[in-house]
Formats: sequence, structure tokens, C-alpha cells
Amino acid sequence: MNTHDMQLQRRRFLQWAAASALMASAATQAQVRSSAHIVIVGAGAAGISMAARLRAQLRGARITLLGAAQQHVYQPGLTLVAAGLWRPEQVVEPQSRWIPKGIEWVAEDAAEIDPVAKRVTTGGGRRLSYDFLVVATGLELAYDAIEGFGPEMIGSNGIGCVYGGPEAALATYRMMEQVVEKGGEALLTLPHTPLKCAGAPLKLTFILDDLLRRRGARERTRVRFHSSLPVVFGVPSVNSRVLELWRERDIGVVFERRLVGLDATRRVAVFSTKEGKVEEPYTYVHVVPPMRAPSVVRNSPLAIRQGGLAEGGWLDVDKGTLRHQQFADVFGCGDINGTPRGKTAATVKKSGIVAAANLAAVIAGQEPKLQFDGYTSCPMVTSYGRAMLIEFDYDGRLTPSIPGVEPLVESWFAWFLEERMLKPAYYAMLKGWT
Amino acid sequence: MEALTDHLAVVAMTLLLEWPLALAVVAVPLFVLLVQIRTGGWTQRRRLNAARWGFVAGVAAGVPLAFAFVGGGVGDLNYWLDWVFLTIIGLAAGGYVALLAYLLAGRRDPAAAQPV
Repeated sequence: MNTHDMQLQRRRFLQWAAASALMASAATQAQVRSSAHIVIVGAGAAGISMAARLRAQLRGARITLLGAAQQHVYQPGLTLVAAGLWRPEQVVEPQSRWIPKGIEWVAEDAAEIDPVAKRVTTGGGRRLSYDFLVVATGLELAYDAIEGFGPEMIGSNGIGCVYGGPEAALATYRMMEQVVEKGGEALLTLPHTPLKCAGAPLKLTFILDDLLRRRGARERTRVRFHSSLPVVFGVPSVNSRVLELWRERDIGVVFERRLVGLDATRRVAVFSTKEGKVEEPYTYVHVVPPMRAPSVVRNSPLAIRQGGLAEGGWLDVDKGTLRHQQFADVFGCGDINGTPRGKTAATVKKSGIVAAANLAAVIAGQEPKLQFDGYTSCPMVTSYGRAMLIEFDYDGRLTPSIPGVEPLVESWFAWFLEERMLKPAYYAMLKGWT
Repeated sequence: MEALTDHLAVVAMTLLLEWPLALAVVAVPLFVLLVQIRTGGWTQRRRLNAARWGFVAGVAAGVPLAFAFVGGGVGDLNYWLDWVFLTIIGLAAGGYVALLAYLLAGRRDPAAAQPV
């Protein structure tokens, strides 16, 4: 037996051990027999975990997963890359490693969804008919909503953006280091739209402040957070706590100022306010583009047409069952859902359980049984070494899941969870184990 | 039950992602035990003393290693749960090094070797 074979044996043994430990939970899930064809649009965290859950719950069904990306990005780790703690490689894995067995993976993105004809057309022109559809496309960063800004500008002229991907997150750290070195004006922004990991802009504000203090450069740098909204976080108790911590740390906040333009060569940010446009010079600016549904959903009959979420074209699902409001054979999972809160991996985990179980029930000829309560989680990093483990539901109620954890108190334990435990929890979710 | 399976799944995935480290943590004491069985040296007092000092060394090394591994420092301990958690880490590190020291201590007394 050569070394490679031995490594393979070891890995198989560990996989077997892990699988055995989980047999108890797997055994409790009754399988539904079906020959239905289920198409899952999107192969991110939501799409892959839904595929794994449906594979486990449905016997005989054909499951097709659509998604062109060859690499899987562990997005919750991007703030740690932007904090200079992780390397970009630590958040990237080959996509093939996480695609469940027994699933047909079509490495193309969906270009069009026709829910009346029950058909998805891929970017390559392939047409796929379905019996049931799971929409898990994720969301789209609307870089074009900020005049003079594009993703290629991240990492130059003092511009950072943690949402741009692993390399952009690293470039954001480099831009932060420049302002730490030179001092000056640091502007951090928050758009008016729903956004994924809504805590990330706040975390990076805390991190920048801590970095400046650790390097003895805080006094020569003014840090200000510009929110498009009258708050910095949608949950009132969390909003108050963050503002309290920022007051203590001399971080200024300006409300109802929306970033609408950048003049990178002059290093000037343009904000829209009630009084009109305002220019602000900066040394470092953290840009958070508005977010919206990808055009494949936004321009389809699946999008919300009325109310506050219509502008983004989010998926029109029932917030409890996660079933589409008009098309009964369509379910949604992840960031694309037009639900009141929650565009995080934690939401994908909890809502995926509900969506998969409800879809299996519908396939079995029953009504959806489970209701999603809007659970989401945000480990709010407040410095290098401390965080607050904030969990809440649709109503903004704090719902701590770990005994002893006080959501609004900074702790090293919460930092440990963010730094070490969320990644395995995330990959366990992709496998459908949790 | 759901919380338990959740935690089990996370532990299982941690082991899969960090399998070389997990394997080393389990394999080292087993290897030492195997060597001890072959070489003998069952001097109880020496071993207990070694275990005591090993425990102290393990606690002393475990705490800074935890900070080096996870980030942060003593100044970041802000809540009672932090202290409980750090105590658990320290005790676990102490126990592990004590076990290694206990197993290793016998090797220095070949006269006490017994055939297996």
C-alpha cells in the first residue's frame, strides 16, 4: 500500500466515523419515494445544502444543481481576510468537493426561468424542465448604483469592499493598513437595500478602530460611519449596543446618507442626503454596494412586484413556509428570499431545513408542515479577540442558542466561535448534517 | 436532540478538516504507550511525579497556545464564560501533557523493564 492509498484509507475511515456519529439524526428522517425532477438554481451555500438535504429525504428523485462556479467561497470568512487574519486561500475550496453524490451538477448558470412552462434555460442554451424548482441564486452586488465605482477599483486609491470576494477582502485590509500608516479620514458606508451579512460593515468599522489603536494611530485618524438608514443595524437592541460601543470608541455616525458616487482620483465620496448631494474627502473608504436579486429572478414572474422589496426583485416566498406565493412548485432558500430579515449562512442553515422538509412534504402530496421563524446569526466582531454572538428572528427578538451566552456582551468565547468553529459548522451545513 | 446532533456534526466536520492534527493528538499517546509496553519501566512514583509536572507544564503552555491559535489575549477575557472556557482549555492541555509525561516517564528506567 503506497502513501497515497494510506491517506485515502485514513480519510475514508474518518469520513466513516463522522457519518456513523450522525446516523442517529439521519435515521429519524423518513424518506419520500418520488420520481420527480427537482432543479436547484444556484450552487452556493443554499443550493448545495438544499441538494444534500433533498438527496437525503427523497428516494428515487432526480436532482439537478445549476451553478457555473468552480470554486466555493466560504463567505463568512471574508471579514477575517479583511481583518488581515486569514489568507484568501483559507476561504476557497474546489466546488466539486462539496457537491453531494447522486446529484447531477450542471456547471452553468441559469439565464431564464419560466415558472409557467416549468422550465429553466441555462446560459449555454440548455433547457431543463422541472417538476419542482428550488431558487437559491444568491444575490447580486449593484456596483453600477455608485457612479464612478467598479469592482476593479477595490484595492486602489483608498477603496475597500469586503463583499467583492477573497482577493477584494485582502485588498481591503491593505487599504486599511494605508490609512493606519498615514492617518486621515476613514469613511465606512451602509446602503439602503437588504444586504448579506449586514453585520460585516459594522465589524470592519470595529476592526479598523482596533487596528488604529493597536498601532498607536487612532488620534490622527477620524473614523465615521455613513448609514443610508436612520439606524446602523435593523435589530433595535443591537443597534443601540453598537452605537454605545462606537460612542465609547469615538466613532462618528452620520445617518441617512447614501453613497451614490466616488471620484477616486480626488478621493472624494459623494453622498445623497435629504438636503441634496454632499461631497466628503477620504483617505480610506469602505464601499458597500446596494444589493439586489440577480436578473434571472428579478426579471422573472418569480420576483416580488409590490412593497418595499419590489425594488430589489427578490423572490416572492411565504416567510414561514418558504414556498413561492404564486407558484406552488417553487421554493426559495438563502439570500434570494424576499423575507423581512436574514441573509446569512446561519439563515441558510435553519431555513434550508424548513424548505427541504416542506418541499418533501409537497412532493408527498401533503401541505408544508414547518414554519421558519427567521432565525439568523451575526457574530459581531468588536475587536481582535472579542465578539458578540448575536442571534435573532424575524421580529428582531434575540434568540441565543448557546446556554450562558449573553448576546450583547463582548466575549473572547464568541470570538473563538467566529474564528474557529463557524467554518466547520458551515461545511457541516453544506453536507446537510446540520 | 437537535442541538446535540448539531454539535456532533460540527465536531465531526472539525475532525475532517483538521484530520492531521486530530490524528496526531490521538496517535502520540498511543505510540508512546506502545513503546512503553515494549520497553517496560513501570516505576510508579517517577510516573506520578512526571504526570504532576506535566500537568503544570500543560496548563502553562496550553493557555498561551490557545491565544496563539485562536487570537486575542488575557485582556480580551470579558465575561464569566470566557474564564470557564479558558479553564477547560487549560485543564484539557494539562491533562494531555500529564498523560504523555506519565507514559514517557518509565522509559528512563530500563532496569525495571519487563518482558511482554
